[in-house]
Amino acid sequence: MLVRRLPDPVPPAQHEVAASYIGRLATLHGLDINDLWVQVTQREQSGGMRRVIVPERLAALTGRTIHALAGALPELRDPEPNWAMFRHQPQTGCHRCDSKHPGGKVTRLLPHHRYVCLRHRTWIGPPDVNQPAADLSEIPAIVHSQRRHLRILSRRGWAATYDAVLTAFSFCGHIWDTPNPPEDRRHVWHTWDARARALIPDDDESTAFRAYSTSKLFAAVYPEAIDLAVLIAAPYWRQRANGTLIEQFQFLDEVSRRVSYPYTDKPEFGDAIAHWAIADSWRPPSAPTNTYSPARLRGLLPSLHATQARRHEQSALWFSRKRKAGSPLLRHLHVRPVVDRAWAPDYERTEGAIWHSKRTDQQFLDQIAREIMKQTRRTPSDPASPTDRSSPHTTSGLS
Amino acid sequence: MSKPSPSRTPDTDTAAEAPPDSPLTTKEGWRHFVEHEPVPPGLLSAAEWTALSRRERMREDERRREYHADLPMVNTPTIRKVIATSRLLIQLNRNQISARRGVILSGASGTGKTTALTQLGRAHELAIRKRHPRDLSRLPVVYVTVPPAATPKMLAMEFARFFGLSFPTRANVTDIVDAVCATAAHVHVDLVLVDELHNLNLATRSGAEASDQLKYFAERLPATFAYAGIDIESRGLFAGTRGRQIAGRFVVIPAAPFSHATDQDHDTWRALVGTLESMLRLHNHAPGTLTELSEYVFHRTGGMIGSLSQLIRGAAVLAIEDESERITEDLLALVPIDFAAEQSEKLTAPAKPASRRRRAA
Repeated sequence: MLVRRLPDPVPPAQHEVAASYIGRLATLHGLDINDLWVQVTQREQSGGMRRVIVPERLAALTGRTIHALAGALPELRDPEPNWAMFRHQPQTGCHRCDSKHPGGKVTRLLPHHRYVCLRHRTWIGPPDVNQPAADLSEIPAIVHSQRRHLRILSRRGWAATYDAVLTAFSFCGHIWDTPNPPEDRRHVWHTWDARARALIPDDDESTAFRAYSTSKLFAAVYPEAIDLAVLIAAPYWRQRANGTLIEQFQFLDEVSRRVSYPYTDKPEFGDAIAHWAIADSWRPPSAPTNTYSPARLRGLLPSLHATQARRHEQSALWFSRKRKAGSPLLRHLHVRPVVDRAWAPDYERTEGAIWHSKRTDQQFLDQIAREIMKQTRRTPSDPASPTDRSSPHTTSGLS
Repeated sequence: MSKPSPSRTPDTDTAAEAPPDSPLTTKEGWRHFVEHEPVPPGLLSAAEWTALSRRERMREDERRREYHADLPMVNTPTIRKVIATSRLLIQLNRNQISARRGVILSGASGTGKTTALTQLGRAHELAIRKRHPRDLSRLPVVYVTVPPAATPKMLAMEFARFFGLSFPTRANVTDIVDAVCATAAHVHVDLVLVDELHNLNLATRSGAEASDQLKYFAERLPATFAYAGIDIESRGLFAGTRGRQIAGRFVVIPAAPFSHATDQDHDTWRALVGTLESMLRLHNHAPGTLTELSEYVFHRTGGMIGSLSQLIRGAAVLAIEDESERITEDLLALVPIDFAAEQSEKLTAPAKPASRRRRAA
């Protein structure tokens, strides 16, 4: 089939999903999206029903080189990129960047480390209900944190950074999940609350309801999350967290220097930071639960499901009344890979996984000690494997 | 974790495809036509010529042959009138929401209708590009030809083919028209050239429907339409209800062969031949030789611009090939021209005295 160049082959956006780009080209030229999709794709060689993009055809259609197209569209890269580095779900990006791309909504597949559009100072992640990106011009600390996030990425690699940032988000969620506001005005709780008020104005109930998005709550805690992620990703501090009692105290001192810790409100319910130090700091980084599958048939974001919309409404209502944000953060699917880790018990409900993620009780400590023993026996010559850690953990008064 | 995607392989279908052709009725061909400007090669002096090696001479000759075969068309009165009228109408139609005025170029074959139409499009596109130098996706001119035995869908497909829009076979005419209109509006089309309008046969149902389709395009597209065809008036395009509406909106410019009746006609023809002669790049050609032969040239060509172009271009190429490097009457006699011009020559050319022919030989 001979494909001819379209009259106005607009350029693709950075990290755009191929189906979204083809959809925009079709919209601009009054063509049927499915017809154009069939023109530039072919059935996969395995004989399945999925259609994969033929780069040569897309190049003929747009008059752009395959190299240039592959620079913007991850699905066209050969060899394929490591899809685990990207979020599993396409999303909209910065609305100000998108405004220069005509033809409809631009759907992008952003990598895990993209939370802020540095050019326009807008918050673009994690994906939530389809709301325009939030303006961060009043909170430069969040923009600066994105730069620090990229520095962690270049130093530690994507896997360690991904695990560290999500783990830090979960810590922030646990800290913010206190029933009552702390009396100390220097507590980080008040900083986050102030940021949340800037992002989700609460002048009246309807404004707060419309402006609410759990994604913006992630923005509120992002600077402190990056502070913690620097520690979590660093091998030195992981070793400290997993070391002797003194080393653990050094680690926790550093944590408390960066965020308000220990969080003293009802400590009997557990301590997520201590749990991580005991159970997770010596394990490899957690991988994403899902990865993106290329050659999707649709370039548009799926419409908001009724259940999802209802959950969003409930969260908005709850937040407007209580100003408590820890619970939505911990229940968001974005942090699920670190709340419900691969080695943790498989709970049917999120509450179970969250409860487990802050356990420091004796039964849990015994179980971890057994696991460490088992691993030590399996790899006796491995210097990185934990040795003689049961004593400080079992006696630690971390919570 | 999801299943990894299958590895991509080069498409076997596209490898065997033929290279795309680019006639004038595609945007690629049209753009090539607009951008193509024949540059006259410089004439070398005798000393420079002798200093060239054999291979360089051959290359130089080839360059001049190509230039003469592609001699730029001179600005004939018809071309001037079409461009002036149409550019005015484009200005007037700019804010019209309906009932836009257009131009019909009508005349016999070989009178330079297509040349005038394409030169109009070229002049307009160059003017628009000068005004919007950075807007590379702008396509101000669409050039289509009416296919033989045209139906509405065939006509719509011609427009779509110009833009490079392709459709599955199941697409209906409404889909095609919608896509064409959306694309035309997006790329700012403001002049539509429709050639070979005589292929519309209004006596048949499909022809009448195709005519209606053309009118529908004229209503939907915010552009000025210029048509060209052979003897449009006598083919009934202005007859009936449809015809009256067309007659009420279009300016008809006749494309007639040059006349040789009055002194003024003589001068016009002589000036035309003189302009063509000034474009020649021949080493031994004395300026004014061809102008002297303008009467002979007129009778050879019957005043047809197409035949004139062929005659002079052909003679120039022959002059380079036989290394005489000058156009003479004998050389002109060697150039074959079209049948219509030959018939015209038989009827109109004065008998030459035999003595003159002997002298020339």
